[in-house]
Parts: sequence; C-alpha cells; structure tokens
Amino acid sequence: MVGAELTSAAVTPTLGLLWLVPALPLAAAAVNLFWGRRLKRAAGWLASAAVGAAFVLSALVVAELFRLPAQERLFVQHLFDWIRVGAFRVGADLRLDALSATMILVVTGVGTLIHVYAVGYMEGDPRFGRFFAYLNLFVGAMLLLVLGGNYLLLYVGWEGVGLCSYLLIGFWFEEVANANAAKKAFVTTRIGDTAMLVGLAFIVWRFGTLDFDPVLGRAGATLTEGAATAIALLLLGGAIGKSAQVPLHVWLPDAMAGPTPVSALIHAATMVTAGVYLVVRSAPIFEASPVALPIVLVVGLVTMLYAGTSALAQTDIKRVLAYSTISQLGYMFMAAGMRAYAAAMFLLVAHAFYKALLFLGAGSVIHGMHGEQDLRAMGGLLRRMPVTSATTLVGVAALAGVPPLAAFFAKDQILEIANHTGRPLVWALGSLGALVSALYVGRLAALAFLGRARSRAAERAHESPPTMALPLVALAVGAAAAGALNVVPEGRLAHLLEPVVGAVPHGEGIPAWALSTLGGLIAVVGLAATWVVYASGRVDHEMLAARLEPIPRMLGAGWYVDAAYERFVQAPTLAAARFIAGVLDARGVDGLVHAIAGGVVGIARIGRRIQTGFVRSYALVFLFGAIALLVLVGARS
Amino acid sequence: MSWLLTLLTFLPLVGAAVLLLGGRAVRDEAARWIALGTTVAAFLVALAVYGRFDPALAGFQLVERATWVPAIGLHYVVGIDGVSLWLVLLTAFLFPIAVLASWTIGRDVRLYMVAMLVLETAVIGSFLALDLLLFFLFFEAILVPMYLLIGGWGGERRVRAAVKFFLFTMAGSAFLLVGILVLWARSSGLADGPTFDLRQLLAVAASLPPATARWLFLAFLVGFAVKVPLVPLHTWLPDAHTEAPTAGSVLLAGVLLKVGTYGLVRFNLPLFPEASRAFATLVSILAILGILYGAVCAMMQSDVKRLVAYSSVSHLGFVVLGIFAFTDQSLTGGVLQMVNHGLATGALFLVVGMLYERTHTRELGAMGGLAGAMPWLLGAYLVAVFASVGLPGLNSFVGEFLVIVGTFAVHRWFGTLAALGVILAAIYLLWSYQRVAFGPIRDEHRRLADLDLREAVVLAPVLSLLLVFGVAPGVLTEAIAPAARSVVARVAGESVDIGAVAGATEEASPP
Repeated sequence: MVGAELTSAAVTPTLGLLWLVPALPLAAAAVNLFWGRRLKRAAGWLASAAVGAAFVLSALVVAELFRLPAQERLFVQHLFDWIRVGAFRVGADLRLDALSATMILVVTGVGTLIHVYAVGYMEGDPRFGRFFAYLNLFVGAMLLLVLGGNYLLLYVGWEGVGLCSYLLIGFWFEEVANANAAKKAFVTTRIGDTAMLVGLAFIVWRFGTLDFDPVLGRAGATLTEGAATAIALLLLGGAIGKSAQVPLHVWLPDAMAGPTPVSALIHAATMVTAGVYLVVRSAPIFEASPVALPIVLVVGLVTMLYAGTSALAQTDIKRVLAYSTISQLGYMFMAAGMRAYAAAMFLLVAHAFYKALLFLGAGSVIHGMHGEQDLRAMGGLLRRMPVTSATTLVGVAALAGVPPLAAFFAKDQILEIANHTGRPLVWALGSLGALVSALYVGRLAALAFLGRARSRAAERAHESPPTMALPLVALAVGAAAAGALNVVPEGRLAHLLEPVVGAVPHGEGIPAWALSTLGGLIAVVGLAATWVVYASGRVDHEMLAARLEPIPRMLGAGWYVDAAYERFVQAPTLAAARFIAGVLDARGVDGLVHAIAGGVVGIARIGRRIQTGFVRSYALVFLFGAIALLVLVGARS
Repeated sequence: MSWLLTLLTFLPLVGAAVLLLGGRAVRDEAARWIALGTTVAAFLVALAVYGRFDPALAGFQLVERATWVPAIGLHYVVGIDGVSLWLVLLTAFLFPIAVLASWTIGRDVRLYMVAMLVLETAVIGSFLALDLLLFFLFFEAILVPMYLLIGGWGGERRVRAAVKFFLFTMAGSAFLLVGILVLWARSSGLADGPTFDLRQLLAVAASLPPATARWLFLAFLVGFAVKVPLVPLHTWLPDAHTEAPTAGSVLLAGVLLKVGTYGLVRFNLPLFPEASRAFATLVSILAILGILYGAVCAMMQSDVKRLVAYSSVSHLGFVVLGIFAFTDQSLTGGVLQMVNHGLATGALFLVVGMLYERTHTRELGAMGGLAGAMPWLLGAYLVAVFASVGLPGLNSFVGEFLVIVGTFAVHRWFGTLAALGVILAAIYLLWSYQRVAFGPIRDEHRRLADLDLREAVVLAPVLSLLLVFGVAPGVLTEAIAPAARSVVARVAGESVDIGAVAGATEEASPP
C-alpha cells in the first residue's frame, strides 16, 4: 500500500486551520438550534455562509497540501485524546490527504450550493431554522467522517450523518409515513453499522489501535487471509448499509420523504457515498483478502442492475432518482472491486454534481407544480420552467453519459478498466447498465419536460426563484465540466490520488477509443429511444407498459424486495418479540416467580399468627434471623 | 480532612433528621428547600472529594477507620477509589436533580423528602463502605426509603410493586448476608480476631479452598444479580419503575441498580478471583441474554416507563459483560457505562415524568405528534434517546464501545452478540420516540405547555453531561482505568490490555 509510506507534513499556518472546516458548520448548527426561530430567514443565510466558508477554507488547505511533493501530501492534526484506557488510545485526529481532500471539496462545494437552494425551497416552513441546524450538523458530521484520522472518528461521523439523515427524512414528522421512513433508514443502516462496529473490534483485537497509518500500513503483514476477509466483510457491511447497496438498499427510496434539498445533499451527493469512501480508504485490508474485493465487485454489479431496472418503472420523479443513485453507487462499488479506486472516486465526484443537479431540478419542478411528484402528471415543462428544464436536461445528459459530459468519462473509465483487466462479463453487464441508466433518465426527462402538459398543475407550473435557479446553473456547469478532472483513466485526479490509493490497474483489451465510442453511442441511442417512446407522441407508452405486465409492476415495487422483507423478516421478528415479551416474560418468568412466592405464602399460612402483613415486620424478622445466624456461625468457629 | 467521606455520607441524614424533628412545623415549601439545600451541599462535598482524589494512586484514598463493635470485628471503614469515585459523584449529582424534579409532589412532602435524604445516605454509604457488614447495613438500608417512595407516592398499583421490589431484593440479600458471615467466620484465624474489613478479608479469601470460594461467589452473585438485575431475576424492575414516582425511577435506574454491578466489581471479583474466572462464561451468557432479552421485551412495551425499565435490563447487561470479560478496557467500559447509563436513563425518566405530568398517560398509543407542541421538551427527549441508543459523541457510546472491543478481544462471539443489542436499542428507542413525538397530534394535546424554568434547570445539567462525557470521557476514565486495571490484574493474574498487541508490533517490520 502506497498510502502508508506518506510522510506527514509539518504544520503551517494554513494547514493548522483544518479543524475549522468541520467546526464552522457545527458551530452554525448550534446557533441555529437554539436561536434559529429568532433569526428567521437569516438562519438559512447563516447556515449557507458557514458551509461556504468551510468550502473556501477547504480550498485553501487543499491548495497548501498540493503544493507539497507528492509523497509528503499528508497532514495529521491531533486535537486531543478522546479515549485513553491503558495502551488503547483513540485521538481526535484529523487527517488530510488527497483522498479526504477530494471528499471535503465535494461536501462543502456541493453542500454550499444546496444550502443556498434550500433557502428558497424551505421558505415559509415553520421549522425553517431547525432545518438549517440539522443540515449544518450533517455537513459537520460528514466532514468529520472523511477527515477522521482513525476508524472510530470515522464512525462518529458515520453515525452522526445517520442521525441527521433520520432527523431530516422525518423532518415533516406530522405525516406518519415520513416518520416511518426515517426510522427505517436509521434502523436499516444501523444493521450495517453494527457489522462495522464488530469490524472495528476485530481491528482493535489484531492491531491494538484504530489509527489508519498503523492499521493500513501493516494490514498485509499482520493479517491472515481469514482475518483480512472477516474485517473487510464487516466493514463492507457498514458500507452496504450506508451506500444503500443490495441487500440493505431498501431504506433509500423511502428516504425521499425528506425535503428535496436533503435528498440532493444527503441521499445523493454526499452521505450515501460514504460507503465508497470507506472501501477505498480501507483498500489495504480488502486487498489482503482473496475474496473481499470480488465480493465488492459482485455487490456493486448486482446493485447496479437491480436498481437501474427498478428505476425504469418508477412514477415518482424522486424515486426514479433514488433508484438511480443506488445504481450509480453500485457502479462505484464495481470500480472499487476492481481496484480502480481512482475511477470510483472520479465517478463519486462527477455523480455528486449531476445527481445533486437532478435532485434540485426535480425539487424545482415539485416546487413549481405545488408539490406534485408524479411524472404522469407532468409534461411540457420546458416552456414554463426554462431554467430548471435546461439545467436539469444537462444533468440528464451528464448522467446518461453523453460526451463530453461528466459520466461519459467517469463511467467509461470503469468499463474500460473492466475490459482491460480481463473481465468481459463485467464489462458487458456494465454496458448494459449504462444503457439502462440512459433509458430511465431519458424517460424521466421526456415525461417531465417534453411532450404536452398532462395536468392543470403542469399547465400552471412556474419557474422557481433565483436562490433556487442559480445553484442549478452552477451545478450544471459542474456536471458538464467535471469530466475534465480525469479525461483518461490515468488522468489528473488519478494522479493526485495515486499516493493514497495506488496506481490505476491497466492491461490490454478492446482499444480505448472504440470503447468510448460505444459508450457515447449507448447514451445517445438510449436517450433517443426514450424520446421516441415517451415524448414523440408516436408510441402509446401506457399501452406498451400494460402489455408488458407484470414486469413494470414488479420493477416498480423494486422486485418485491421490500415486501419480502416485511413478510419474511419483519413479521416473524415481531411475532417472536411479541411472544417473548407477552408470554415468556409476563407469564413464564414472572409467573414462575409468583408461583414460588405463592408456595412461600402457602407455607407462611401455617405460621399465620406471626404474619402481620407489614413488610417492616418481615424486615424485623429478617434482622433477628440474621443475628441468630451470626451467633450460630460465631459459636462454631 | 479525614472526615470528608463521613461528612458526605451522613450530611443527607442530618437533613432528614432536621425534617423529622421539625415535625409538622415544617411547611411543604420549606421541606423542599431544605432537601434541595442538603443535597446540593452534599454535592459540593462530593466535589471536594473529587478535588482531593488523586487518580494516579491505585488503592483506596481518604480512608477513615474506627472500631464499632470490636466483639464481632465490625468496623466503620470508608474509603474511595477509581471504581467508586464516579458512582459517588453521580449519586451526589442526581439527588439534587431528583429533588428538584419532585417539586410537584403535593402530598406529605416532608416525609417524601425524608425518604429521599435517607436514601442518599444509604446509597453513598454503600459505595464508600469498606467493611462488609457496614456495606450490608447500607445496602439493606436502601430498601426502606425506596419501598416507601414507591408504596407511598407511586402509581395505581404501587403497593404490589413496592412489595415485589422489597421481597425480591430481600431474598437476594439473604444469600449475600450468609456469604458475608461465612467469610467473617473464616477470618477468625487473624491475629486480632474475625473481621468484616474488606482489605483484611482479601487475604483471607485468597486462602479459601476453591469449592468454598465458589459457593461464596455464588452467594454474593445472587445478592447482587437481583439488584442489577440479571435475567431471569429482573421481573421486579419493570413493575417498580412503572409505579415509582419520577424521582424514584430516576434514582432507581440512575444509582440503585449500580449498587449491584458495583458489588460485583468491589467484592465478587477481588474476593473470589478463581471463582470469578470459573463462572465468567455463565455470567457472561446471562449478561448477553439480558442485553438481547431486555431489548426484545422493551420493543414490545406500550407503557413508556416499562419500556425504559427493560432498556435498563439490556444496558446493564453490557456492564456485567464488561466486568466479566476481565480486560482493562472492558472493565473500564463497564464502570464507565454504570455512570453513563445513570445519566442517560436518568434523563429519559425525567423527560417521561414531565410528559406524564402533562398528558396523564404513559401509554405510547395515547400520545403522538408532541414534537410539534413542545419542541424543547421533545428535543430533550431526543437527546436522551440518542444517548441511550449509543450515538457516538454522546456519553453511552464510549462505555459500550469499550465493553464491546474489550470483550471481543477475548471472546469473539460474546463481543459480536453484544453488538447486536445496539441494533435492537435503535429499534425500540426510535419506535417509542416516534410514537410519542411524531405523527398527528391529539386535539387535547395541542395546547400543552413546553418546558418551564424549573424543568429546564432540572434537564440542562444532565443533558450537558451527556454531551460532555461523550466528547471528553477521559475525565472519567482517568480515574476508572487504573482501578479497573488492578481489579483485572487480581482476577487474571496480570493486566489484560488490548491496546498492547504483542503480535502486531513484532510483525510490523517486514522481513
């Protein structure tokens, strides 16, 4: 592993400011939590300014880091000893290297735009200040997650973002469905988190520490294959939960109950990518196991196809995007599973731009249509909401992989690496997945923006205010240009990340230019096909869907995975719990106790005369008995 | 200042005496203020103890010894070490809060406060006593005021709950007393006759035949297991909690249960190291059973106080597991978790009590949507809930984590199974919170008042500590860890530090 050979840089005035990056949003969160109601609209601006300042600061710190020679691009800031018991220590340490630098720029950069957007989107909400407090708390926790210098601090951020996700999914808690979705998200991810926690315990057992440097640096030398596999799979459990991979993906579509800026920031651009970050960060452990990375690859591949096909049949605009997110995260897992860590990170960055853009575009549509989220009720919005439509269409093209937009490069490099490292099946299925993503996102665009308006709300839709429109434009620019970060697999981003994640794997296969051409073609053909079916008016797509039943219904229900969980996991668990609490504990254990007590009472009836019914006289008897015993024992010895 | 611990122990009793001797001349308002003043004064004394405590020193500090009944070797011996320090501080901290939370008690206020103050003396005395019979006297003395608090100021079925509480713990105590007396009898070979002094008995116990030591271990274990409570001796707890007045629940969960786990650390492990090792697997299995069983039962409760009571069964399972894994980290985590559970569950019961005073129900199904009407109270509830869930950054996480990693290093499956309790905690706590706070609100609840000043003063210190001890657990572990280390060393023959992994450092340098 290359990362462990990095030498830590000395502190400079600029690098010393690193702690402020998470501290600023956390401080603003505290202010908004207590005084948010009094601040009114200023609460939103304060929150945006805090994240914006954190972005500027991140840029300065990262620039300082990249001025150093490649092998010295590591800065660890020890804030204080958090846990210290004997030789086991966990420091509150922040770690800045190329990997965490990439993440903090994405989190604060995209985060700032989404905060500004939310000032417009959440206007008039009675808990406006509270919303921004939670949103800032999220950003702070996410920054802690990626900056943490050891697994436990990462875990703090990990659970912290889970908390914020819970609070924000259930933000409009008056609706029972929203509260349920929030709980589902927290509990489902916690199943994965607990696996991860056991993984941390495993690491402590083998290494006596949770610091990245000793653990990752010695992973190959210290761990047996079995131990490496166990740790890697336990960590992967956490990653699967947080990044909504099969089989713990079920919480993410429901998480769309949260306000749309939340979906964009937490459930698309940042938090859900934490699993990818974890795998990439822990690469030496995964590589020390013969099976862990292949499992990551399979999980990613299955998730990518599963979620992509499910996205095809969703009618709620946000649920299309939710399944799309799951699918794209699957792509990132695939890349990591092939040791193409830089490619995974590249897609992560690109995806943050275009998926945030798509969600905010969808939010703008929902806002403009007064809460309508059903694609079937939309249509023809291009004319009524020009800025929203134009920017969102950029996002659509970027996600589909139209050259030269973001995903064209990012997705293509993953497929190219698959092809060039002797994985033709992965490449073929990945290309199929690319076609599917062009189809679902094209369908979304055609149904929402093209064709004719299919409802009164669509006819009367209005463009959103500038605080919402401007972030859309900024993100559209990002989505269009993000590809420039890494035009070829061994491009600029890969080069910057190399000291941390190692070199890009390469080999021989179909020439890169041919693969790229094919990728571009897939995107264009996919989008064109959806235009023909859904927007040209030449095909009755509802009739088509009806003829394909029951497939659309099955895809729409996410292959019935949710229903199966409810029936085969949730219901039996509840029944068992009901039995244990209602029968076993109430009648069994407590009943036994009462039976014994009854027996005692029966015996006591014999000595009824001394039974006065007052506990204190029992106590007295007890005391005398004790003294008698005392005398007895004393006499014997 | 060798009288500091005695002052701390008996100061509340003096307050109680004042209230009693004052008779009916003491008005309700005066009784409240006298009780509050006394408990606050005791807390200040506890802070003075903290100030004089040197965490770097192993063993007991501020020891006071006086002969009481020389004929039977009964001495008044009190002292404090890293295990008891924070339990005493927790007790002294929670009592003024409990008194302030009892401001709404309107009936027999004077007697209520007397019971509270006597209870404080009994609990602090239990944590400080270094003479086994003295400990037992304090330990038993806890029962009476607690019995009166539940039976006198509790809910509808209070008498049944109070009697059940009394009989259960009494039954356990009988075993404990027999154990103490046998140990005492064995010490007759000492130069100055038989004794109850723990420090002398440690040497006596070391020379016991293994079989005797194991029987004694079991006698002590039963006595303490009822108090903890360990499954299947737990069924008194939900009833007691449900019927107890708010302050009773806070103190019961906050400090009384800890007397049981404290007893295990203070007496079972050091006195019977071999027996502790022999029974460790059995006790650990009971602890894990408690973690999972308590959590499953909590999941299905519809009465919010019963739910929190079962959650205590689950959380105390972590404590016992940590104690019996015999690693520095797990035992430190166990003791830490005693303190943290006291704060987190204390906060939960405080909030639940405030909710009950407003809605007059404990049924989860009869609440809902309260977050909209009372954002601050439900916000406080949320903080307490997430502390109990074990959210990192809040206090309970650190103790649970240390227990899990410390246990895992020696028992893979125990550590893993305990971790499953973490999932269940999220389920039952969030589900209950959701049923109280979220969803549509009932019409009669729309106009409920949010926190008033007194309630804010009650909650603020506890909630602040949930955060402070989550971020800076070193404040506590600084004193706990050395003490835990010496207990482990006594049981296992040497300290078991999972941070010092020999293999890892050797293999660190590649060949």
